[in-house]
Amino acid sequence: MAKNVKSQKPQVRAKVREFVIPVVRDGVVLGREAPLGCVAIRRALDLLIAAPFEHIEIEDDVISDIMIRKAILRRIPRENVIDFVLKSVKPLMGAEEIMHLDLDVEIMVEYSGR
Amino acid sequence: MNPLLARDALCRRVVEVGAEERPQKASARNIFAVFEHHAGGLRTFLGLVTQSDVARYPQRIFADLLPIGAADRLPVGVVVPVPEDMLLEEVLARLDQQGLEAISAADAAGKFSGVLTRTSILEALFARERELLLHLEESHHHLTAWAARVEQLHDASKKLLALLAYTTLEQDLLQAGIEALAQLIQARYGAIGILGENGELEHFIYTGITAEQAKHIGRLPEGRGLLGVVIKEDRALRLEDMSQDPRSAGFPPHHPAMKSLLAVPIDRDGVAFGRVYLSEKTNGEPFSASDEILATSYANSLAMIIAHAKEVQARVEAQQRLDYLAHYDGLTGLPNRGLFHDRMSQELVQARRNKQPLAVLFLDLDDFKLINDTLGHSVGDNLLKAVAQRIQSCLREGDTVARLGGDEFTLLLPEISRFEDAAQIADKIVCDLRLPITIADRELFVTASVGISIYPDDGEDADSLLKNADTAMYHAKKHDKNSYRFFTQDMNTALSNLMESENDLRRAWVNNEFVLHYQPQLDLRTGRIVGMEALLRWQHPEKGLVSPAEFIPVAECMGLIVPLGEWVLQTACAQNKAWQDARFAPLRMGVNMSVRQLRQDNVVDMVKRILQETGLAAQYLELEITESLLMEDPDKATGVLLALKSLGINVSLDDFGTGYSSLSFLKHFPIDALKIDQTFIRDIASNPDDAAITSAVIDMGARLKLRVIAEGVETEAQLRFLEAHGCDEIQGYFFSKPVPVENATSLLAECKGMQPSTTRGGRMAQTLLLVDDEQNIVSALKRLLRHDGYTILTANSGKEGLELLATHDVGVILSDQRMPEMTGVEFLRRAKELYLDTVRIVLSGYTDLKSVTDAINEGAIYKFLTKPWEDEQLQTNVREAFHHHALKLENEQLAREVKAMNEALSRTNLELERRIEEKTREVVSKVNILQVSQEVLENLPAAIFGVDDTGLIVIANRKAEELLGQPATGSLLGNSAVTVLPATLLACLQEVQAGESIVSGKTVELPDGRHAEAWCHPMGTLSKSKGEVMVITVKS
Repeated sequence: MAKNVKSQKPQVRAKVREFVIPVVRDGVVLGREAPLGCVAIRRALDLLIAAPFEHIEIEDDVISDIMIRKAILRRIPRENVIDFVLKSVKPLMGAEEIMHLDLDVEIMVEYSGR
Repeated sequence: MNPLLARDALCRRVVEVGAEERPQKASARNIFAVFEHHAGGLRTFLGLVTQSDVARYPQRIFADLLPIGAADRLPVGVVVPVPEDMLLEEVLARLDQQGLEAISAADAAGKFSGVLTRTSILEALFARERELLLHLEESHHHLTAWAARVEQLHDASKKLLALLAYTTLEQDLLQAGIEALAQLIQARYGAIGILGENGELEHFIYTGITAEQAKHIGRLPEGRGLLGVVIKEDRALRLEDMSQDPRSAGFPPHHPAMKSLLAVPIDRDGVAFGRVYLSEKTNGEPFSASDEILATSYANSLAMIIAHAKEVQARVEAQQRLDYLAHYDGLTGLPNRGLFHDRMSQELVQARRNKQPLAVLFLDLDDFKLINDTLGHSVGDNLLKAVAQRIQSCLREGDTVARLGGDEFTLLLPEISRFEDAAQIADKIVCDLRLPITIADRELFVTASVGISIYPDDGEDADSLLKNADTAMYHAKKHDKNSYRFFTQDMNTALSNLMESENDLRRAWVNNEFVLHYQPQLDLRTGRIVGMEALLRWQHPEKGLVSPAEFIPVAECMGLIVPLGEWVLQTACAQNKAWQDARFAPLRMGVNMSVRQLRQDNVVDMVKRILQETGLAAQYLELEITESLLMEDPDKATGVLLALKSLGINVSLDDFGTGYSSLSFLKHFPIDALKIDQTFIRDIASNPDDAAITSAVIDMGARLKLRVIAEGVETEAQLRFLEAHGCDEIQGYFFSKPVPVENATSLLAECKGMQPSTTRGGRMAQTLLLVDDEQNIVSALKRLLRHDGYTILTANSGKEGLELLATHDVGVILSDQRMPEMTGVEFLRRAKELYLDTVRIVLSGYTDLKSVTDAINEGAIYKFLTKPWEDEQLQTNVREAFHHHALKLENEQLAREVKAMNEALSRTNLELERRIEEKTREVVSKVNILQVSQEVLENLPAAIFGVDDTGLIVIANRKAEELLGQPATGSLLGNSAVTVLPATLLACLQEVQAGESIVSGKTVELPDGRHAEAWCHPMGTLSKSKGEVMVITVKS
């Protein structure tokens, strides 16, 4: 304690928020240098979220893995997901980051002719 | 060394972690093995995470640090683990191939067993290298040790190989071998036992046990127990503890304790005949397989050696047998023909070299074929064997008998001195073979015929000698059988004569046909007979008088010479005594002694007995012994001579100069006289050598104080020479030949002797000797010189001149130079040598300047005068020569006189010295006696006075001084008895001096009142002294 300090009173400021479950809604994009690896993310997702997730390994200099909810892959082909991530998400992240994907997927169905 | 495998290089710094674990702060060098844990404790290996992986993602869980896909796909990750038995090189290759720093290893079941990193691999390699290095070092050590052992084994093998050079088992070699083996194997104890054919221990050599210990043990290994097993089963035994083996028979008492055993058999062709065994390694360890190999190798070498030795031995024996069969007769064991020829060749070489005869005998059994055919070959063979033995028993050492075949034998007799020796042996064989021979309880009679040939007479080579001996044998068989014959008729005749002579001699002995003749010995100075030599003669009834040279050798051979010699001695001594009894002048009787007589042990007793029986004094007997006889055995001869001399007998050395004695022996032999052999006397008048020898012997004899007798004096010239040179006695035909006793007696009775001649240099005879081969010259000279008053002798040759010189006292010689046979110079040289005092002149027209000048320079010639001569000059020269001669003689006479005087003076001096020495000894003795007497006198317990005839006291001992006290003069001596003696004593003295009586024990009173007893006696009864002696004893 400094010489001219008479007393100290600890103060705690806290933000308390509700831990929302699921923590991750649709997917996670892992940077290659992210502090957590895909196994940890996967296991965490397995533990925390009932919905199953698909692990997609990416050969990219920034992104190493994508964890996507398998339900999403029913509606969007895998390649599209990868393409979307690489084109849209990648520019937004660094290799050391982990991005949370929250996707709204609308399917426009068109029937042709008969 | 096994190659390194993966399992050998597992990293020790592996940390096993769960996949979901996060790395903690750990060692930078750790490797993490990530496992997925499952229920039930199972786990799956996922992969490896290095610290660098952790460092890169420090927050990730291990599962996220694994290589991609490792957690999801393969149980053991992308990197396939290597089998733990994979070669390390392959692991390294895999790491390089996959660019890995670490790789997991799995066991055969695929289960994770560890991790290999480059570092761990390197470490493993380093460790292996270290291990290898250590291993190398150990191997090197091991190799070095082995090399040393191999070298030792090599040494031992060399020693063993050296054994192969030997054909017999030498104890020393076996000893060296077992010691080398024990040393090699480092065993404390070792032994080799080799069995003989009968299974018994033949050789036993040991090491490690001292001789004393062995002595304590007291017995050799019996081969029971374990050692027996080795032999019986022919196998090696290697035991750590013998006592644990049930087959062990234990040790005898005092045997050192032994635990371990290594025993190997020595075998050949599967049969053990020995064992090598060792016990107790020095390092305490049991014997190893390599020790067993070594020992077995040694035992095998030994087996080879033994087998080799046996082979060699067998070969040697076979060779010896062959040699034997090649040289010896199988039946009789005698040399065969081949060997006989060999020996004969050698003996012939010797005989040629030594010029000595040898005899070859050929012997054939008479009627052997009949015996063989009748009684069978077995009997015949045994008969031959018996005959061979009989023949051998008759031979001398060095003789050879051989069997040629059938019933023929040959004999070789080397170094025979006479052919009679061969006859003797042949006779002995023939006689021996006549005796019955018993074969298989049957008496057989067999005879032999023998032929004899003699080298060189009957042949000079082996074939001739054998052939001639065979011929002689044939003649013997043809004519006589059972006899022997010489090849040459002469020998047969001689032998026949010999046998006849022997018979004759025996008969002569029995019939008293032997007689003694006597030859006188004369003293040259007096001309009188001083001795007789008794000479044996044989009066043969038919042949007349037989020369001793003919029968003495036969008598020697027969042994008759001993009794004959005794008879001669007896007869001669008796005869001499008879002559003495007949009052003839005493003389010495010379009797010859033979070899055989001298060799008799009782010869001295025999001589002594004969002297006693005959009554002859020993000094009148002289035994004549030849020089050569003495030299045969000088030591024994000296002993006999000394014994004979001790009887008083004279001994003379007969035939002096003909033997081979050393002159030094003359000093040792106790002899009295030398008899110069007649061979020297014969030519003394003409041969300067004989003259010189004879003169020297005479001179030597004189100096050694030996009488010298010249034998065989036959001419006056010889006589005169001997006389002139001082010979003592002569014996010979010149005076008398040996004569029968009657004639000898007559000589003695007539006192016959010789007139001693005037000696040279006595009366000067002016005798001139003219020598010229031309008579007219001699006559002319004689006519010229006869009026000058000379006695002229003439000669026509040098030889005649010498003869005249021998018999006449010639003063001057005038000789021609040129004469046939002997030149003048030569004649005068000889004359100078023989008659030095002659004056020698050469008168010659022939001038051989060199010989004449040489002769002059030698002193052989006084003058050389030429022909024709001047009468007056010649006369003058002759006159001068005589004058010169006279002067010479006078000088010689003077010289002799001076010499004689010197000798006399010398003798006188010697005598004087002797007497002085004697006197000195006497005086010394007397002085000693005197001193002793004085001492006795001084210490006598009585007073003693001696008074001389003047009345002075000349003797007074200590007691006397005490009794009377010392006078003023200090001593009683020299004082008048009257003044010092007390009245009572003086009275006694005067009584004796007056001659009245002797005072004996008279009691007198002394001045001090004591009483004494006095004795007084006049001196002179035992000495020349005059005076009186008084003895006073004081009464107590």
